[in-house]
Amino acid sequence: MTAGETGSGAVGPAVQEEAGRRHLELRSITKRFGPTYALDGASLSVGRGEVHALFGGNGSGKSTMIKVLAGVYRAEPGGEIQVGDVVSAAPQWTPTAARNAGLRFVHQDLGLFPALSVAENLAMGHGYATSPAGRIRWPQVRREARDVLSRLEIKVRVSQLVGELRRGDQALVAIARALQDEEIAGSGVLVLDEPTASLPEHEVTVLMDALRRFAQMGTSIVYVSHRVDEVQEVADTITILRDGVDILTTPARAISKGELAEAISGAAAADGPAAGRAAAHGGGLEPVLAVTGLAGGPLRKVDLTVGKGEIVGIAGLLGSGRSSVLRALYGMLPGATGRLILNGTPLAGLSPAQGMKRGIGYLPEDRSEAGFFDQSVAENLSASRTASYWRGGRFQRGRERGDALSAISRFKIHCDGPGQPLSSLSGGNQQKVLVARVLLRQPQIVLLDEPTQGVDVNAKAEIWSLLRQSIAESGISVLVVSSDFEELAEQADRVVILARGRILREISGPDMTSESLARAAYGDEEALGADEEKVQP
Amino acid sequence: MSTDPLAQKVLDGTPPAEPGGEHGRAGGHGAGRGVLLFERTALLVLLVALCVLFSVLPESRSDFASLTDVRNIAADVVVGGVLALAAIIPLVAGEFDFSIGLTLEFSAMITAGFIVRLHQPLPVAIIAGLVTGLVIGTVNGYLVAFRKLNSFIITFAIATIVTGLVELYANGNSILVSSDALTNFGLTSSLWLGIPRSLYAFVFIALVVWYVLDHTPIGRYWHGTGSNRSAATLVGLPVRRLVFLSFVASGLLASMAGILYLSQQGSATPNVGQGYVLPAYAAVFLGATVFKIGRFNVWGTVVAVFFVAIGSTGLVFAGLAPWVQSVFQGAVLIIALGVTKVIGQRRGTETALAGPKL
Repeated sequence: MTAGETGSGAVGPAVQEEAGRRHLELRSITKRFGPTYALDGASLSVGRGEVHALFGGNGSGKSTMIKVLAGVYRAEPGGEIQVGDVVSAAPQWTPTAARNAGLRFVHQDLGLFPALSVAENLAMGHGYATSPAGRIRWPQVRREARDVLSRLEIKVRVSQLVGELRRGDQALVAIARALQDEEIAGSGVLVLDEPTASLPEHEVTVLMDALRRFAQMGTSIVYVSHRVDEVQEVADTITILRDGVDILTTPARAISKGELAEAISGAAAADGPAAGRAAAHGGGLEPVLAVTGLAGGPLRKVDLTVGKGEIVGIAGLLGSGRSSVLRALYGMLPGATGRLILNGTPLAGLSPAQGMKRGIGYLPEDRSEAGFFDQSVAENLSASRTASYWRGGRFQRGRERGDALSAISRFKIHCDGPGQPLSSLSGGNQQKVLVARVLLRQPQIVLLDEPTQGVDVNAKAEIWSLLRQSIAESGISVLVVSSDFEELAEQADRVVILARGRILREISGPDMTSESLARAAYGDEEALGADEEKVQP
Repeated sequence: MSTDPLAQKVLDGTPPAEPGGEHGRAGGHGAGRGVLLFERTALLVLLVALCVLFSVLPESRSDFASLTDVRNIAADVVVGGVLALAAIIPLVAGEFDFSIGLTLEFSAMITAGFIVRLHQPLPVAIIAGLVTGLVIGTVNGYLVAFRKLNSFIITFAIATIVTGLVELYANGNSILVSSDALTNFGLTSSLWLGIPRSLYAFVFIALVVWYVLDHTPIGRYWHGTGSNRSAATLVGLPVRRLVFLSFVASGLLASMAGILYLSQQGSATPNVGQGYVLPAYAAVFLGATVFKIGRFNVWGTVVAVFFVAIGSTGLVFAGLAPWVQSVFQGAVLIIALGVTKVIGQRRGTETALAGPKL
């Protein structure tokens, strides 16, 4: 298939040994989108049986590198890709070449079929066993699936529907599907793109253990992540990408968490973000928002008060109703009922338009529901205030652009300018645009659903410092849902624990740690017998 | 409302980030801009090239050199052009309106009927024609926006119903108009500063649509609605009302196209309207490859209307059989979509063209 394969016999023993030691090498890969360099001569070298973390912030080029490796993006001429003995010029690399070289990819979106069984999901990856007449041989399909799972030591039943599995097991099934081919058993390269993004904390360790096991079996693993903790825990070696360049490759033990955070941001990471935390908790503050008996969807009579300048967190597992609270408050949960008092005025029948007028800002969990991706950064920033740029029969584009420029600098949005389409920004910067859009309306209270999900450490710190700045300057209040307990413990003044549509307790003050929050959320959920988790719709 | 003090404060305080500064990489910015300018005006260049080609080709030279023929093409553009403008607004808001062709036909028929059969004065007849378009647009808008039915199917269904109504009203015949005031306006030889008068109507309507889409809040709201409906709801836009109004506007514009058709042809004829629909959509999609690439825009559409008209007429002048026109128009539509997609992909935008999702 390539010159490398046929020519390998002629290569001297020393060279061959060298090639055997390094399993996968990308050498000076460049990838350009228009005028922007997503990768600028980046390299990566992975040893056999190694867990190699590819670490970097949003927009650092991690995803681009993976897509080049998968043959999805065509790199600019000049670079080289080597897997084992197979060498190819980077622009000639194709998805077929990647597959033949033993590379397997598991993406953030696992690409599973929730309505099908584990065995069927595996068979989708490499074909169903059929009789000569074309009928599927179910016993054989199930046996093959069982063999693959036992070889990889993954403990799930092959007849179970994937949608009924825990998220962590779903990830393992996706990995099993990728690694099932006999010919790459113990010799392939598994590339995982942000595998833990949607996993609850306690399932992350299950995945980590499995990855270590696969590495011992001889599979090399490239692990793409922006989470400092995970990278430290799972990786043997870490390559750090920043602005499309690999700035450092180091054994994981030789670098501290602080150094990692610093390395991806290019500056010392913000330390102790709780510095500006409101001194008083709960009772002392005048309530901006008070809701009683909020019901509808999964919610069962939720009572909640948010004081002026306060950050209130909502913690709970998937399915606890945490997102529904915010949707109901913004009038986006059909059939929701409850008494809502905003600044002492009772509100009946909220709609998004009314909510906005009354000073409520909301940002949903799913970014794709919130952004105008084909429109420019400026248009996205002004979207909720369009009419204010309409003066004397003209649309004041100059003023819109000026406001956008100042928002871009204030919110540290990295982009080529206000005219750049939102879709071409990195995920973290898209999120900053959307947060900015909410804050620019000068709301009294903002409802944020997972505002820092899928955002790197640096952008996360920036988003929080901007929220704190708005609290200090305009006295806004924040009601935030997050599945990151550490974030809640660091940022919130108090946290309410939600399970099965009810508020179970409130945690504040020195008791509020990521451990106590996690224990409360998981413990209470388990006590209620609701351990089974459903795939997010 | 005042300017945002939050933003204003920052504007005074810190200098705005330099575009393409520390984080965006500057890589051949000058060349990039040149390419961009070329992409944005490529269709315009192509249009000029087409004109030059047809004026040089021996087969079409004589026709193209004649002022009368040039005026004929210009006048031909009017009805299709206004219909393309009618198609733009629902497209911007994320919906299709395929009933515009029949709206054109029925409005022309009603206006002619008011003049000839009911002996009403011209202004009354014109108003009746416009009301016809408003009614059809209202029905479309109600069904799509408030009953949440698929616009693609609904407007086809409405068009089919209107076909029946036209038959009922016209009884299979054309209605010849006797109003000189109307038909004189539409005559190709009726000039103003050497240009057919109906062309001024087209340009005026284009100006109004451009102003509304680009320089009023409702235009921006329509763009937002078409770009991402859930995000539009999120920022408090009255999405359903906006979709409804987009159909009303398109009905009104289609009826204007119908009245212009009547003034040019001097008669209203059954089964002519649907033939204008595909060229109109071809022009709108082709228009999205000029000026603001990947966005439906008025001036791009105007250029595209001329491009399609000159291209297809020129081919016939050049001696090719008339069937080439249809092939040309269909091919233009495919190429327009392809070009927008490729350019969109290269820029890293996910959706090449905002608009209706089928």
